[in-house]
Amino acid sequence: MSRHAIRRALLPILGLAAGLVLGSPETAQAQISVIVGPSSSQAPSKEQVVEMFVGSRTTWGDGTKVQIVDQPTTAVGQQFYEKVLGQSAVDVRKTFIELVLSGQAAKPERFSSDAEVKAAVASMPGSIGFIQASSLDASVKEVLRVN
Amino acid sequence: MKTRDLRSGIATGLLLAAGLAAGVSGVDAQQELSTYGYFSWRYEQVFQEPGWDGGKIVKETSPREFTMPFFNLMLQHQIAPRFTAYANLSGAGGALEVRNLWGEYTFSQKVNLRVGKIYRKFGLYNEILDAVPTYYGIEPPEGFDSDHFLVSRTTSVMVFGGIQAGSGTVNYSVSTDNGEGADIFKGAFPLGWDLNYKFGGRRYTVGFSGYTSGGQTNSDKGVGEGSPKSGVLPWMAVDSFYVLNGYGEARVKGLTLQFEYARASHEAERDVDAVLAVLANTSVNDAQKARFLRDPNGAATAANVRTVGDYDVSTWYLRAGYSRNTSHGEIGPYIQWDWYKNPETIAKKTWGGDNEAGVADDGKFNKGTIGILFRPIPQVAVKLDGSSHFYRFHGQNVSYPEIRFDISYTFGF
Repeated sequence: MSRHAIRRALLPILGLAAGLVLGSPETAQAQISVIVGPSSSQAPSKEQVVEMFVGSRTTWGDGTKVQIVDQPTTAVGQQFYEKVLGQSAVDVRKTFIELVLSGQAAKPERFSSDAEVKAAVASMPGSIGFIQASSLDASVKEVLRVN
Repeated sequence: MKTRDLRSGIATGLLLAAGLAAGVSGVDAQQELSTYGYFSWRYEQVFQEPGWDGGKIVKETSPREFTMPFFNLMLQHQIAPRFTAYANLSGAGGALEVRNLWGEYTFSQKVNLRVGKIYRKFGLYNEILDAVPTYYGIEPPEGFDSDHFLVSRTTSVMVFGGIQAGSGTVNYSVSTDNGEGADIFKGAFPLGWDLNYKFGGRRYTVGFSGYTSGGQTNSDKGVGEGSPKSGVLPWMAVDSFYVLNGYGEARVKGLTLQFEYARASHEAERDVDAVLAVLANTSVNDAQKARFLRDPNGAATAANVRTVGDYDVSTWYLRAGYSRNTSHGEIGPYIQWDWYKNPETIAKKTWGGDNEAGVADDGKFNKGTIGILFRPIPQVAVKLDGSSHFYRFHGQNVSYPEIRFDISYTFGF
């Protein structure tokens, strides 16, 4: 086999390997479930979820106040802010400090694990949170899944 | 207690009581009381401020001023899914002031009813002015400066909401209250309103606000009692006025740009005795004397007082800040330019004037500010800025600088 032919044969393999290496972080990112309480009848669109988490929407359609349940410092939190909200956690937090100090929104509850988020969402009326899809169980209700 | 104060108090009480009742009987788990706020401490000093002594301009540096640490404590309780109660208490030097105390019932995102002592939705700043740690700058825009308000900051009943429109939300509010004055004028029906469009994930805002006294009113302060908390000057017997305000904000990739323009038009009538008291106890300039007296060169007598006191106040500002996140925290340089004109006000604060427009020959001044904000963590804001006032004083263009330092810590987040 000529050197040229060997090079041609190796190229797709190298390309595949590079693709796998570069693509692996993407595939390693977990799916995200946006969740509400188990008895909630809310079914927000993705746009509405974004509006709630960036402070543009503070009320559900039935008049219940939106209670944000957040986990900004976890891996799924960073993924949520980056992929879903398109804003940094610091920027969103500043917005909420302004809204909350002036009484325009409820103070977001912050946690550091899926288990804590599920427990809070399950017990607080009007709440909405997010967890890794693999943590989903019957204690909460999924309203949106983000890949 | 005035009848309308009583009515407003009863309405607030009923709303809060209804909320409590709903909360107590509700089957849902209730949110806990949220307690949060901030502590702040400030240092200010004015340098080389022009004064008039012996027929010439002299410059004086004011003593440095460390303010007492002060705090704002906010309490928010979602009593039931649709009922929220909120209080904003401000404390400094042993005194506690109730800035806000309201109950809110949410019918939907589109319709909310708030009753109590409420910051009215007016322009970019009125509702968030107590949230000092969150915005660029230390001093409020001039239209919201406490010694020359265009309109009172608080109202009593407010209906507001938001409606999705295109990629954003149209937000509205309509409010009414007891009016500006200490006395109730029969037939006056004050009305405030705000309409804005927020879009791009709250990154962009354009809006208009307004207020009408809804008839004749007077000031909440008498002459010699200090600056009014409303838009009516203390020496006016009656004043019928309206305020129009346009504003916009853009927040793009760390850059924040804001502008606002407001104009208040007053049809007022001066109180003869109050004007004579002002003339006897303050040093008004030639332009002010010409407004107050029919014959500015004549004696300050009741017959010489000009009672027709129509005038306009106008102001605008531009603010820009650029926020950059570094390994040490957020750093945000900012610049601001304020312009304010009030031909009717006087120089002495204790007599209802201010020490800015009232000092100027023509009631106009410009103020340029440059500063920097540093947030090592989102809860802590350290701000340092310097300003210069520019105005006409005894026929000359003058200016003086001042510096400010503010550090605040937001707690409960």
